[in-house]
Amino acid sequence: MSRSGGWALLLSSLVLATGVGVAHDAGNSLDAQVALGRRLFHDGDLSINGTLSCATCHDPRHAFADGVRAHPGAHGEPGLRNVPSLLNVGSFSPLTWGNASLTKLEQQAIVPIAGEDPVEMGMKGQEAELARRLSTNPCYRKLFKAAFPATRGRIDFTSVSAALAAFQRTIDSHETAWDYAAAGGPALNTAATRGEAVFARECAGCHRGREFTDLAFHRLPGEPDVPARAVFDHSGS
Amino acid sequence: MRQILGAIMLAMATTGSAQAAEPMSGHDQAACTAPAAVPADLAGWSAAHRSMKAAIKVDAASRALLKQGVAADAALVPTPKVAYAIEPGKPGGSVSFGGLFAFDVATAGRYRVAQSGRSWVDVIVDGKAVPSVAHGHGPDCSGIAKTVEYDLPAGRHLLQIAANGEQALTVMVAPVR
Repeated sequence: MSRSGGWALLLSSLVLATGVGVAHDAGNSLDAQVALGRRLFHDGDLSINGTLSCATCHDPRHAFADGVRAHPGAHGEPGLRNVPSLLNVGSFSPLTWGNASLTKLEQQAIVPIAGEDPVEMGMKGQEAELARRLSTNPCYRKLFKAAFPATRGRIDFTSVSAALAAFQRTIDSHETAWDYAAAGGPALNTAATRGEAVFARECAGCHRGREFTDLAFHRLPGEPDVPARAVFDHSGS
Repeated sequence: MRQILGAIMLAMATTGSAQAAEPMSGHDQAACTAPAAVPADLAGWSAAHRSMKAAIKVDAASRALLKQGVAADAALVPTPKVAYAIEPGKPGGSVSFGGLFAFDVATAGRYRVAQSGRSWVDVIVDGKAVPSVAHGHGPDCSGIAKTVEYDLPAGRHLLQIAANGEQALTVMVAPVR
């Protein structure tokens, strides 16, 4: 197991053992957490040198993914995998191909922010620095107080990851024409119906169900049999 | 739980923060034994560079005037000090660096902004960001980490640099031939 995988597994075990589900804690405001999480999601201060926000890779203009094979880390460290879209990520479990033990968004945030394999945002060991950066901003102090009144707006990695998770759960695409049709609403038009049949025949083996994914790693022809460097691009381009 | 999370972060700090803090580039610059040749239309990158301080507000950008085809070793400023003309597409955090520059285009056409880093680049014409038409990077070992191309009209234009990880950045504007 990679070092970051080990840390993530340790973290997830501890989180699960203590029953943490911060976004749903009594006394906290979910709407305020979402608002805070949205701002944090776009803030470069979550990376060591201020160059990367969550949205740098999970760009809303690209369905919360990006258009490149693999995104470098904050200092240019080579990326290892395609950036997955965050659409409907609140419905996913596990959350990534890289580590099936990550099942909660609150746990997963530590991987890009503080992980080492690969280094992405480069904040390993920088929790105090993260709190310092955010605490100097009066707007953040207000937002954290509104989002986490039970802790009087404490700013730390736990509250940051909880707010990010709350925001990510709002990234939802379950209102497409297909969703409505599948729920008994208006039928798809003729072209879309033909496309649905082709999709069911050619694609739905992996892209199955309401989320159009089976959340499993699939070895493509000519690709290695472990999830490694940018192996999820069908074209290989 | 907060104490546990803090302990985990502290433990992680002891095993590799120095590695995370060391600058790296998209390719292994340490493996470069000599600067690589650059394309002819970026030849200025291999010539003498100018030193320049980035402007922090639009009406001072003309004092940070980039000359076509001449690379500038620029000193950027902390992001919070920069008053951008428009919000950069990726503005960077409070610990990142950015700045403003001006450059003149004598003849309308395609121009390339080359840089040694991976900062976010906006070219502003008439108060609006010009959509880029291509992007890429220079040859390995050339020192050009990122290039962005724009179709630009004649005139003096504003170049916004944002979300750079270091204060120093080499930047050059040159026509694409």
